Amino acid sequence: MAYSDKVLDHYENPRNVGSLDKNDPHVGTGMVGAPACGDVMKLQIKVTDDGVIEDAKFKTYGCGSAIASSSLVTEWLKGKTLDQASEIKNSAIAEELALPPVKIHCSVLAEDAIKSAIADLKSKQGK
Amino acid sequence: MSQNFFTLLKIPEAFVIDVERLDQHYQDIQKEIHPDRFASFDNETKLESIKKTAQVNDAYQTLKSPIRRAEYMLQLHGVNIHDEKYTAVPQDFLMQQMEWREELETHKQNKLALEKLATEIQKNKNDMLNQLPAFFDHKDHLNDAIKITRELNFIEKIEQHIHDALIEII
Repeated sequence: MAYSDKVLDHYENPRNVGSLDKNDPHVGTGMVGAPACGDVMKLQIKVTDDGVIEDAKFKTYGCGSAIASSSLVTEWLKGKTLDQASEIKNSAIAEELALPPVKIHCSVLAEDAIKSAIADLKSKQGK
Repeated sequence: MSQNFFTLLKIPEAFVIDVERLDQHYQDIQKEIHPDRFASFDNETKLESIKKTAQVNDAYQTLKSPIRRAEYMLQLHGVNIHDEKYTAVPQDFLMQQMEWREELETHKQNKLALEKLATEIQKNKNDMLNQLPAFFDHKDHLNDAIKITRELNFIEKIEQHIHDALIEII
């Protein structure tokens, strides 16, 4: 299957690969997986006291589209508030990366990873 | 339209199967419906034999593999494991998957380390497969069967990656 240029770019030069300290109270960790393809995705966000995302890191074991989807959202997340971050939709990710229908689930995975990271942060901060 | 795979291969519908019986029935049916036997028949009969052969092959491959068999049985219960919308796999399980994948990445060139990892994963896989019969026996445990079958898909994936890495070394 042919990948779009944007997918290839993120796949070959993934942004923000790595980990943040999951015990840091300012860090939210999202872990999701897709049983359909066995992909695993970890997404972490670090927020300021004002609730703005100052850093985002990811680690994804999966296909090019899954890596590109998570790489892309780490770029999008920086500078956003948690409310803005929770509005990121998989359709926007899929559109930006020109994902074919069979790879839409990769963008779903990235959206769910954001939600999972936000939920983790909120439960940590007792909100 | 499409016949139940268990009925097709004449074995009882259960997660624990008699593999020898499955093999035997498969071979018997294959002989019976093999397209070569219908070479002199009309096209419709020939086509029917080809279709039937494909269906029997599909049924056999599905039932032979414990994971495919589990997926198929869940499908009979109206559950599609390959539902792409589902991503809420338990965190501790995913954490373990992450660790294994990191280990695989670190030791990609190290045959011994890869084999050790493969053994560990195989053990986990066997433990999971051993839980399935009880889960399939009780309707109350269908959700447990779904959970394990989903998780087995991740296990299968990393096994495949380790296998590929080992081939690269040799």
